[in-house]
Amino acid sequence: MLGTLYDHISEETRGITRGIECNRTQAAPGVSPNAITYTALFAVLERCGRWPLAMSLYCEMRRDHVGVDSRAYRALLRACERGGGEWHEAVELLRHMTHTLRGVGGGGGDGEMEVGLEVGFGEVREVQEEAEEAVQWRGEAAAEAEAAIAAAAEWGRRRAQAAAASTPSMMRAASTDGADDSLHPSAPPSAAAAAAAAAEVSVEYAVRHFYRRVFEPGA
Amino acid sequence: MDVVTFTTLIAACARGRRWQLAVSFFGEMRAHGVAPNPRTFAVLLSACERSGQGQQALEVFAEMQGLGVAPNLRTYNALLHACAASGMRREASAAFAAMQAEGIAPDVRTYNALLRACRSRGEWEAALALFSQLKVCSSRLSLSGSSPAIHVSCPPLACLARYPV
Repeated sequence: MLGTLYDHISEETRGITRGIECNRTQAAPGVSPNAITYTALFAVLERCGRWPLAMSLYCEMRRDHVGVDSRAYRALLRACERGGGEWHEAVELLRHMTHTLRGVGGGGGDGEMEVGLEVGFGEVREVQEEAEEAVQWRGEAAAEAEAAIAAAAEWGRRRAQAAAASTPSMMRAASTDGADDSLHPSAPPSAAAAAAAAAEVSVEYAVRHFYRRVFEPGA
Repeated sequence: MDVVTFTTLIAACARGRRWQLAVSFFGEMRAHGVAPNPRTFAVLLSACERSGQGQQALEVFAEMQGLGVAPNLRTYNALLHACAASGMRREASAAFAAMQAEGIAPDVRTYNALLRACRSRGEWEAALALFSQLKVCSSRLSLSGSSPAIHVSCPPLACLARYPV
């Protein structure tokens, strides 16, 4: 894996970085990349238009079970957006994102960050409307847009569930709704966790920006 | 008014992105004859970072050295993040080199700052090299068994198969 990543680096740069920084580095064992590390990398790659590399790193991030937070997704979506053209993959990524950023996952773990749903109901609806409009005049994107709309709707539904679970009385109602138990967060988020999630940077910007790019290339 | 009071005051200014206020409180602290500690400088540097005052951060760091306060990992990380926030890649590299010369082992925040610094001039190759280095450090731990991460189930992302990891 490191070999493949390293292949992207030119011989010259390899020499420079080795001389300047890498060889003298003696980081303590146990220091490992976290979501912030990946976010910073995505930002660098966005600037250079190297989005396929960003996608590779996203795979690696998932494989190593580094918790993906909304900032990382935002940086990754921006990288895809700046790369241009490959919007099919961006739609797929968006679907992936809506699935991942559900409820509050994990907690307490070193590498696992609490992920929350940041997009309010109104904003989700706005995105949906935007996409629905786009479908009407752009048949080519219809299937992808429909899937993305479904994902956005799902996202909104889960947000409502997460909000319901944060109040004790409604928590019971949510847990008795056992039809899709596997989709529930393993533990109901506390009010504090919900507040922390709400305080986090919203991915709404990225989603809306992305839709604009996909469906209104001229704009 | 002791060092903890002033440091907390400066930290509050840092959070509010009021670096000038932070610097003026630092001046007041010195006027009161209160000796700053490394933590004071770390929060002062963080105030510079949040306000995008990389040059100011370098001055603060120089002042710290002038006062004979030994920098630690935290102050170096704050300086690196301040440089990164202002896109001062060269200064960040120099600070990193100085840090290593003093035998201070970097942590993940150090690397995150260096990666941030790579963005200003789009140095993605250097960023990947740094990242690879960090991965090597982390793999040294994984042999001894890290805490099991909680999985988030997700649908397969077909397009990702095209990108080799």
